[in-house]
Amino acid sequence: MKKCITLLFIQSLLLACVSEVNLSPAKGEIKVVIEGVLTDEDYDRDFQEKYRREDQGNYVRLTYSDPVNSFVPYEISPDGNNYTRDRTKAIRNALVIIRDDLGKVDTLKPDSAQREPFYGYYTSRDLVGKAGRTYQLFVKIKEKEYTATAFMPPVPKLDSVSTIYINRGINKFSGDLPLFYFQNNLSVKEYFLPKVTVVPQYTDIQIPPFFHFSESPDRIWNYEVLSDDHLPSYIDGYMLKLGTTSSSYFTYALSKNVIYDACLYSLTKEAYDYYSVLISAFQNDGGAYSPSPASPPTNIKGGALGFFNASSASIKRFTVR
Amino acid sequence: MIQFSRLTLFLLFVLFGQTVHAQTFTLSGLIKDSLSLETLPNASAHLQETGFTAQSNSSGHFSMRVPKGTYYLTLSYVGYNSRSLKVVVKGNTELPILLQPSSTNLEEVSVVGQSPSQDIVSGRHRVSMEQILKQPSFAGEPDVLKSVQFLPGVKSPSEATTNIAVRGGSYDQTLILLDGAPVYNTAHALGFFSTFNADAVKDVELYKGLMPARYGNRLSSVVDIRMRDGDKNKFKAKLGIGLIASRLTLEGPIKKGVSSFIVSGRYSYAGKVINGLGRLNEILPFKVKDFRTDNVVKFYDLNARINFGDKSGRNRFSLSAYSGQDRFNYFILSGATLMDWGNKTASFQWNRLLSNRLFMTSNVSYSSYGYHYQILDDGRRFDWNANQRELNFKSEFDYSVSKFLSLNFGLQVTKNNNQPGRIDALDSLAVVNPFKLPKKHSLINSVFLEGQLSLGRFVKVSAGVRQSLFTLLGPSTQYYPNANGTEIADSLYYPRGKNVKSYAGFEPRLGITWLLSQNQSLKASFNQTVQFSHLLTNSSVGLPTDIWVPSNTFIKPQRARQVSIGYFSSTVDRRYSFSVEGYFKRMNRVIDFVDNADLFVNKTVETQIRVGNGTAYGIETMVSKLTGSFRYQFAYTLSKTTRKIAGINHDMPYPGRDDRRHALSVTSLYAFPKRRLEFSTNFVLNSGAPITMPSNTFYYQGALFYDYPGRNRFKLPAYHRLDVSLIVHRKPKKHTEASWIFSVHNLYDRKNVFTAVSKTVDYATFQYYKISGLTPFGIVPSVTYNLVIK
Repeated sequence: MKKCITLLFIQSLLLACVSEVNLSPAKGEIKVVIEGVLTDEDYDRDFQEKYRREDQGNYVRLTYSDPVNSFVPYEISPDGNNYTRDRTKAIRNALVIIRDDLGKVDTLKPDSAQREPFYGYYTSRDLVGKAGRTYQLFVKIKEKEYTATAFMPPVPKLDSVSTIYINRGINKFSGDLPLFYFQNNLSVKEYFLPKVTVVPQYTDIQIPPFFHFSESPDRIWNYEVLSDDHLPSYIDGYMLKLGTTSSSYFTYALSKNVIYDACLYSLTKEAYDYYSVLISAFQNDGGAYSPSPASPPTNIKGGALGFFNASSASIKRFTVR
Repeated sequence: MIQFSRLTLFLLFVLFGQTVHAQTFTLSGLIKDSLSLETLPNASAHLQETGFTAQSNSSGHFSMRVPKGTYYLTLSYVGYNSRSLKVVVKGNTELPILLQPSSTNLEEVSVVGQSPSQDIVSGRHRVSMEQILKQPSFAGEPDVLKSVQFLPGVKSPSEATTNIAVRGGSYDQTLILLDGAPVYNTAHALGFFSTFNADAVKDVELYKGLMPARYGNRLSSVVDIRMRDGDKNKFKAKLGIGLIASRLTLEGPIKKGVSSFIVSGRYSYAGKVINGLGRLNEILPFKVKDFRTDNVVKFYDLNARINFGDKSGRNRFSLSAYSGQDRFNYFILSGATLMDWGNKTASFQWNRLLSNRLFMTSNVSYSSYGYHYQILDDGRRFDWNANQRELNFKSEFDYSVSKFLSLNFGLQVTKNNNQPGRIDALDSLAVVNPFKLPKKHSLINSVFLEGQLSLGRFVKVSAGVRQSLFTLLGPSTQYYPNANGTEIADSLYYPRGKNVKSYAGFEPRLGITWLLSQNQSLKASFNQTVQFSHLLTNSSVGLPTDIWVPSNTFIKPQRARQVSIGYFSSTVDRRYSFSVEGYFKRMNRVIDFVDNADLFVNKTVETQIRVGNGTAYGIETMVSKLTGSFRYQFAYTLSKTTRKIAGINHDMPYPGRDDRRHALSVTSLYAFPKRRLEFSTNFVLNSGAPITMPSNTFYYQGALFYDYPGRNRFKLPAYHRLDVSLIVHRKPKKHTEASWIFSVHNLYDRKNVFTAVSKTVDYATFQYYKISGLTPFGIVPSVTYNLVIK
């Protein structure tokens, strides 16, 4: 009898765990999403056009939002080799213009690739960013117009990159993480976006780094931001998390003998605030222990979601041996 | 020739007229527990012949003016058997009064105190400690604040939290006192348990309607908690061993019958239990999700008090202290963060019988609260900490003017030091410059006066006023807002001691009770309250990292006006009582954060706040049976609370966090005295709480994000659960009494949504953007063993 009670007791305790139930929020109005990225990076535009990386180079991507709890099927490409990363509804016949403060105007064309996952991308071979300039974006979709303005702040030179081995214990994170070294100008308020990307070694289209397919909802987003609040005048080894996940623990590590680019991008305060909100959205599930969630602040006028960002970059190549 | 106005003559007659027509004397006494000799605060002393009722003060002392004669005096206190005395008054009469606790046997029991219809203060509730200890409790831990949540008009923001929101106010608008010292964070383990060890508590009183003028600096309510004195007759030890915490209480006389001590401690090993279940998870052939082995959940409470008096019996002193600390990292709720927080309070009280009509209570108290917060895997590697310290002096006097009028008056001085945040390097790998926000200093000086007046047998009036002066002191850099209060337009530095900003608070309080009969009354009240301290919390349920800030140039004092009207009745024997009361509350200058507020060590955090108005109204009903082997309480509230703040929710009104339209609670206790068993139940049914949910998803640079249409526009599903508890008392022995408590929280395993989470789910061929409700736990059984050694 006592054993039964003990087992029942333990069983009840095991039932007493966190579980999920389905909720059905109201569906909202579909909105245009504008993802505008402009840098002063010097990159091979032919390679970029042929072997586009979604988050590199200068581009504007136009898509539509989706209602929550919508079931969105993936498609497998005809060659069977690639999975699509997302299935947003791309906007293909828009007018996209970028103008700088010297009066140079560039009309972006839909990406010539027009293949998964690059629907909705607009690019230009002539568009070159330069630190200290201000850029204006103009988008027209059907009869609706959207505009945005972005200043490209200068970025300090990334002096060097090293790595550090972190071991959190059995069944926990262990691996190499990068350390960035650079000067911080204390007389000017600065914001940064540090990032590490894999240098493509193949000629085929490849899945972008740190993207993975799994049954876990714990996806990683290869972005983190840094404000120079409370930072010293020399950043003597800032450790990157290699992206953001919902758990906020270290998740990914560098691999040995892979060539990486360590990138330090500059951000305006506006862009820093935007990325900060997106990053906190990974950890802030909107629940009881989190702030009331809200849509990220946008610099796009006209009622679109998204952001138009212009960043200067300092890049250092490195390998973990 | 001196001329008197008619009003002056009338006042003089009211105050002194009875001395001309009939000689009156003071009938006073000290009300105590018959076994332990603990004084009983807020007990009622009712004279049948005059219909006058006096309340014992915090020291158990009461007094009233009566003409010469013979009277029947009825004394009652929640959790004790009422007692009637025949008293012959020929001169000033002082009575030592002993009341027997109703828990001494399981026979016909009584927890009734004063009839609610007789209580001149509308919206006042006393919660019996017996009720708290016998109610089913989460994980077997009796909880003072969770018991208060069963009262009408009182809600918790979420499942399994101890913060309380009263009549539409937010939980920072409730003043929680422990022996006169405010407790700033009452939550252990992120709110699953409160910081009050029920074994150390004597009395719990909630004011949600008419707030006595002696309380201030909170808008909505007061929970006044008094510690036990300790048994003045015999030494006792009480041990409680439970599922997630254990308790030990030692008490006894220092000098028998005169002075006593009590020390009570509680320690929780909840983290070890959870980690043990996680290890079981690894051993079992099936996986039970969400139990891991690396959680840190532990806390302790330590309460201590000594009481002593002088030989004359006219002076009594008490010194009490509390210390509590938490350490918390539970991966589901806190992710990769480690939080450390704790309260400390100390209180010294001097009670003096100045004359048979005048009683003084002076109290000096100290409160502190502080926390540390670390993000474990952050490249900057810092420790963020903050603290709040308060020193209080309060002196109040109870004066029996006449048989119609008694006064309570006094003054209070509060000095507050607030360190809102500082950053220190965590270790040698840190790349952060140590930094701290400037401290804030403030001073609140208050005077208060309140009178309770009987206008004949059927009308009683409680009228009071509290006048406060708040001063923000230097050293401080003050920021001045632009015209719409959203940005900083200017700043100015003030040196130490300089007056930075002052605000006055005028708080009238008025309550009228009209006795329709001995057991029926109508009550109406009006309350104006002012709050100078503001809690900056960016979550629904409150976090240890919430920041208290004083009013300044950006944040003006909040103000509320509340009116209420109700009908109260009980049966003649006070076995049953019924009440229905409606209220309307208007709050001005309430604060809330803008969307995506930046709170992290922000020296201009005021720019993240917007100020507006709040409205709350509702109707509360309560039916109780408080005597007999079977007792119950049924409470239902229908209410609504909204906020309208420019700059939030597109300037449109939105529901307050505690806006739950319907709230029902039913508690019951059935005693089987012959079998030494007690069976109790709690049933709770609430409308779902409002939360902010997305309506759209969109992609940006390869990741999914959400678009939100507004704040608090979505209602969670309704919440309901049933808790049961069985107390088995072992046969008492000469020196020991033992009992087992078997309880089950959420008996039918209802999946009550605690919070909503948004996730993306990837599968090989499709992607699903999912909004789910998270339920913290299902059925939770517990076993507790209690042993009293005497």
